[in-house]
Amino acid sequence: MGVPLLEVRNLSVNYTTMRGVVKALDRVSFDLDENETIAVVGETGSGKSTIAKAIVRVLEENARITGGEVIFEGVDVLKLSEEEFRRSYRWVKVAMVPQGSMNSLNPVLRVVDQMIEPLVLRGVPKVDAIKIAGEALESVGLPKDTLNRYPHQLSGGMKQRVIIAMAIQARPKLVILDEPTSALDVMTQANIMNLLKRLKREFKLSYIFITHDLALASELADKVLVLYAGRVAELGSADLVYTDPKHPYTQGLMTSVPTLREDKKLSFIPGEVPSLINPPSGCRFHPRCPYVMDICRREDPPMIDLKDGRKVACWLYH
Amino acid sequence: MAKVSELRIAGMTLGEITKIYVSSTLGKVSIALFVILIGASIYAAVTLPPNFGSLWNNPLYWQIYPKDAPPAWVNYLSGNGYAPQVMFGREVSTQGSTVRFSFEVDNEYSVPWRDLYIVIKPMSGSSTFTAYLSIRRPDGYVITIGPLLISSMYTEVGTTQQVESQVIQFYLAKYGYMLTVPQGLSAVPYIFSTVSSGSLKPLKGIYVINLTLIANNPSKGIGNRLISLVLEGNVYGLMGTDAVGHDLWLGLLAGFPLSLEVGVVYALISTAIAIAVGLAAGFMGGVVDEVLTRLTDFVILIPAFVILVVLSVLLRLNIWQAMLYLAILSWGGAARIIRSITMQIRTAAYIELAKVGGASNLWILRNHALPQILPYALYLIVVGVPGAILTLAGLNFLNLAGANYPTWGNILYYAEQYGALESGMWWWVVPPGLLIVLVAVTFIVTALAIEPIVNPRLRR
Repeated sequence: MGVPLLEVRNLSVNYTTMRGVVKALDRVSFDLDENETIAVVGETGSGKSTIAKAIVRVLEENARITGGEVIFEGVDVLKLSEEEFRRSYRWVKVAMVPQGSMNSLNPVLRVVDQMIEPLVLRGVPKVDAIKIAGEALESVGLPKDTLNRYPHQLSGGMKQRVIIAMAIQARPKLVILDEPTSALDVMTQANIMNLLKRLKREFKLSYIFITHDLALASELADKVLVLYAGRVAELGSADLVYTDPKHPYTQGLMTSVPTLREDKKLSFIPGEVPSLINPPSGCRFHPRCPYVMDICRREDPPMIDLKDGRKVACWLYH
Repeated sequence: MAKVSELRIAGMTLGEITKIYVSSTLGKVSIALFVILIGASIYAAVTLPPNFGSLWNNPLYWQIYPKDAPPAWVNYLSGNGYAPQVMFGREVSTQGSTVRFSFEVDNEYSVPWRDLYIVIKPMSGSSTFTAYLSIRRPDGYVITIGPLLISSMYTEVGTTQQVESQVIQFYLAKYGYMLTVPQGLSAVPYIFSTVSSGSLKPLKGIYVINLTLIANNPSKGIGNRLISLVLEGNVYGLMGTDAVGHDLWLGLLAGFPLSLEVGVVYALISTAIAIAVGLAAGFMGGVVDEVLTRLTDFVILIPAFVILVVLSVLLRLNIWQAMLYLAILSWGGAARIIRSITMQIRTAAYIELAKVGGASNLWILRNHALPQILPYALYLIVVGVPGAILTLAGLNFLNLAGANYPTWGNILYYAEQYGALESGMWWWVVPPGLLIVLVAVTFIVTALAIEPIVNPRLRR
C-alpha cells in the first residue's frame, strides 16, 4: 500500500463562544487505510465529534479550522471549494452517520423522501434514486417497503439501519460513524455491529468509529485513537492499545470498563475533562494523572513513537 | 414502488386528508356551512346587477319600496294580514298619445297598501304625461283620481293635495264621513277601506284599477315605454326593508362574496407575511433574527384595531385598503410561532444529516421546514378569515372602511343610527348580525375539523 486513504495532519479546530475560544482539536494526526477501521475514543467533550464534522466539513458556524490538512486520496479536501467538495466528496466518497441518528429522520417525511435526498441533490433522477435507496435498504436487512414508512413507524434499530443505508447508498469509501449505537439496547447494538462488519466486508469500507464505549470499539477497530481534551493521547493498533495501554489516560479508560465475570470494584479517573477555553499548562492530563512529574506541569509532551509502531503523548516514555 | 412527486401536507396525501376531514362530524358540518356560504356568494354574484353598488346608494331607486317594512313572511307568524308589495307592468309601444289599461288586485289584507306609484321607464326630461286613475271597488263604488302630472320616472300618488281631497270627497259623498288624512301620510290606504258603523274598516275583495295615460305633447306620442303601477306594501320580500327602502335581502346577499373575499385575501396576506418573517428569522438567526424578532414584538404590541380606526378616518380607507392594513398590522403572533417552529427544525438532527447529504439552505427550507409549517399555515388561514371579517365588520359598524357595496357591518351601522332596535325593527338588525356569526362559526368549525390533520396526535 502506498498512499493511505485518509491522512489527517495536525488538524486544529477552534470554537468561538461567548466565554472565549474553545480549542476543541489541537494538532490531531492519524492515517487510515482502505478497508480499515479506526476507533476514536474519549470522554464527552474530548473533540470526537468535531473530528467527524471537520472531515466532512459540516462544522457549526462558530467553529473554524485553524490549521492542518485532511488529505483524502492524495487531495487536501479542506482546500476544495464548498461546491466541489459537496459534489465529489461529501456523501459520495465520505459519508457520515451523525450522532443521535435515531433523531436524524425528519418525522414528517417518509423514509424514501429522505433517503433519496443526497442522491437527488447530486442530480440522480428520482426513479433511479428510489431504486438505489431500495437496494441500500435491502443490503442493511430491511424490507423494501420500509421506503414508504414514516420514521415513527420504525423501531430505533430500524431507524439506525435506515441511516446506515443512507450512508452507504452512494458507495462511499469512508463512512464516519459518530456513536452509531448510543441509545440502542444491547441486543440491537450487537445486531448493528454485526451489520457494520458485514458491510465493511461487502463494500470494502473504511470506518472512523467514534465512541466512548471501548468494549464496543474493540469489536470493529483495527486502530485506536485515544483523544483527551482535543489532543491525541495514544494512537496505535487495537491489539496493542487494548492489551497494553501505555498512556496513563488510556490505562484509566481500560480499567473503568465494567466486566461481567469478575467481581472487582470499578475504577475511574478522578477529576474531570478540563476546560478547553483555558486548558491546563503542560500536559493537559496532568491534573488527573497518577504518575504526574514536574515536567508534565510545565511542558507539553511530544508525540513519542514507540518501537511497536504506537504513538504516545506522555513524558513517561521520553 | 414509492412515489415521490405527490403533494403531501403533514405527511398525508390530499386524498387521505379529505377522507379524515369528511369522516368527522365537524368536517361534515363545516362542509355544509361552506356550501351555504359559497352557494350564497355565487348566487349573489350571478343575480345582483353589476351596478348594484350605485343602485344601493341611489335613494331614488328605492323610492317605490316600502320603508321600514318587515319581511313578508311575518304574515304567517302574526296572522295580521299586511298587504305585500304589488307591481303591475306593461310595455307599450305606440305613436298614439293615449294608452289605457286596467289591472286587477285582490285585497285580502287587513292592513291595506300604503301608497301607489306610477312608474314610467325610460323617462326623459322633455316629455310629460297626464294620468287618470279610476278604481272600481268590490262594493261597486268607483274612486276617480286625476289629472296627475307625471314628469319623472317615479310619481307618488298618495300624498298629493289633489289626491287627498279627491279621496276625502269620495268618503263625504258615499258615506257622509269626514275623513282626515294625517299630515304627510298617503291617502291610498283609504281607497281600500270602507266605513262601517261609523268607523273605518278595510274593504276586502277584487279591485279593478284603470290607468289612462295621455302624452302632453301629442306630436311625440307615448313611444316605447314600460309603464308600471306599484302598490307599496306593508311587508316586503324575504328580509324586509330599511328606512331608505333598501331591500335588505339584496344587501345581505351582497355581503356574502364581499365578506368571504375580504376575509380570505386577508388571511392569505397575513399568513404569507408571517411565514416569510418567521422562516427568515428562525432560519437565518443572528442579526436578521434580532431585527425581525423586534419587529414582530412591535407588531404584536400595537393595537391593530385602534390604529385601523385612526387610519380609516385619516386616509379614508375603503374596505380593501383597511383589510390590507389589518394584514400588515396583525401577523405578529403567527410569525413568532413560525419562528420557533423553524428554530426547532433548524437545530434538529435531521437537518445536520441533510447538510451532510449536501442540502443547501434553500433546499432545507423547502423540503424540511416548509412541509412542517404548511399545516400550521393552513390553520392560520382558516382562523384568520373570521378574525378579519369580525374586525372589518366592527369598522363598518363605525361607518368606516366602507365599500361601494353594503356590508353587513355597514347595514348594522345604519340600523343603529336609525334606532332600528329601539323601534322594534328586528329584521334590520338580527340577520346581518347572524350572518357575521355564521361566517365566523363556519371558519371556526373548519379550524376544529382540520385540527386532526394539523396535529397528528389527535388522529384516531
